[in-house]
Amino acid sequence: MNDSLYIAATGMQAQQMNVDTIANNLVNINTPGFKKGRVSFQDLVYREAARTAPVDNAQAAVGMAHGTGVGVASLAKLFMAGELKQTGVPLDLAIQGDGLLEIELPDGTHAYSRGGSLQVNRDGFLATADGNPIKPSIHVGTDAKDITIKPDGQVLARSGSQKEAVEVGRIELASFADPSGLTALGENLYRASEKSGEAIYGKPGENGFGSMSQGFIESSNVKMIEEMVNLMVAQRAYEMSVKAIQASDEMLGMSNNLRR
Amino acid sequence: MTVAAIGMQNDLLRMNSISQNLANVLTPGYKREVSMNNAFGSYMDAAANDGHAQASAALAQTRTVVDASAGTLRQTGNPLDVAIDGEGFFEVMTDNGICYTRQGSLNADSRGRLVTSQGYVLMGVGGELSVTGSAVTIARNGEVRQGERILGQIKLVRFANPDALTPLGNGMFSQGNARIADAGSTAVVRAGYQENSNVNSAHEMVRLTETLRHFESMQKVVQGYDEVLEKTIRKLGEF
Repeated sequence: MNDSLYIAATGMQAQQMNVDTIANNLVNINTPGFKKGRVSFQDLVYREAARTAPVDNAQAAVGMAHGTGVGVASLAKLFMAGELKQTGVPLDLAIQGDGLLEIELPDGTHAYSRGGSLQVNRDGFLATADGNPIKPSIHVGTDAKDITIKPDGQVLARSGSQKEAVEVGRIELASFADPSGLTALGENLYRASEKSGEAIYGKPGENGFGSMSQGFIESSNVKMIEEMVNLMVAQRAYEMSVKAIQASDEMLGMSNNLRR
Repeated sequence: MTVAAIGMQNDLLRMNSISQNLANVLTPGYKREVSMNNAFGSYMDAAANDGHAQASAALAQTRTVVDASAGTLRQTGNPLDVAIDGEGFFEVMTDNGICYTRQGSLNADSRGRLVTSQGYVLMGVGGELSVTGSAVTIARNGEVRQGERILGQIKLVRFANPDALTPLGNGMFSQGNARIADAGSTAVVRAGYQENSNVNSAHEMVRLTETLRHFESMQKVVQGYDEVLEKTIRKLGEF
């Protein structure tokens, strides 16, 4: 059968994936700390076309490879910074610059997050909104007041009986050789993967790590206009593949009509 | 009738490359493929010299070549997206030896080497390029810098006849019959940009319509010829 039908079908499939990703970006436009996804395409393997004639020279042999369509190369998260928005809530924490907070999940594995609305969990540890503690663990106590997080990650807190706030711990940040290779777990959490490499730890504000901003929340890095333009382009590219399928179909119909 | 039938067959092959180009209209660094027929004159020569069988053989050879012209550049803001502004290709080491690509979405692998999105190692002038940490900048001449330290320079290869490169998929090309030009590439490396596919959608749609109509007219030729034969047989039968 006609290859062009199948080639154009891969085009439709790839653009469908593109539209799915854009839709996910658009619905998360107000999700704090959300990082947009981006699909990248690549052409699929080329193969030798079936020869309809004997090859009499090397030149013809070279030019016989036909493409077989398009595939999705990667679905990467783009870790560009979103804008910081002031909330005034003392436990809203954003990272100004590169770096991720390390979070311990209930199953003991580690995940990484760009911050967000923190809380003090049942056991008195500083934790994410879901109650998963931050690593290295910072014990502020369940009755802590006036929690202050300095730009360099130092955490100060005053418990009920104390008069002065004392240092209870220090936040560390993690960075990756290739953050776009992190696996997104949802809920603004990411897990290290083979592609991203192992976490490299450091202090906030040093060696290229960002500094901590208390009372701020990082907004989503999705830009609406950019996504709308991408959506239009994806839709048109989808349409083009549809046209190619229609044309191939018409041609097949015509060759069937040779026998009247 | 054979000529028309082969014409139809060639149209189907041309449809393949048009579909391929349309499917890859958003693939970064994609180079469109163009199918080419030999000139009509060569069929006639072949027919005159060797008779009918050779003529149809010559007709059936539709070649596909790569159109290596540059695509437009699109800003991505990712410092590890590099595009070549001008002629030339990046050299990468794959499992099957050295290949060439224009697709420059780089990242660092777990060993810190700069690799393409498929994980193939990008070659610098002096071998592999290793980086540590994230703050890497790539200058216009291909120099990879980390702070003030120069880690290496990206190697660009220019071909005298890039249309003879053999496409392998994944944006990779093997050398094929292409010759490496003696003079080095004068192209500029632009960080934070990606090269768009060089497929012009309007052009491809015109080719699509054109191919469809050519196919239709070839079909009419076959039908017309069929009618002539039918009439002839009927007339002859009347005697």
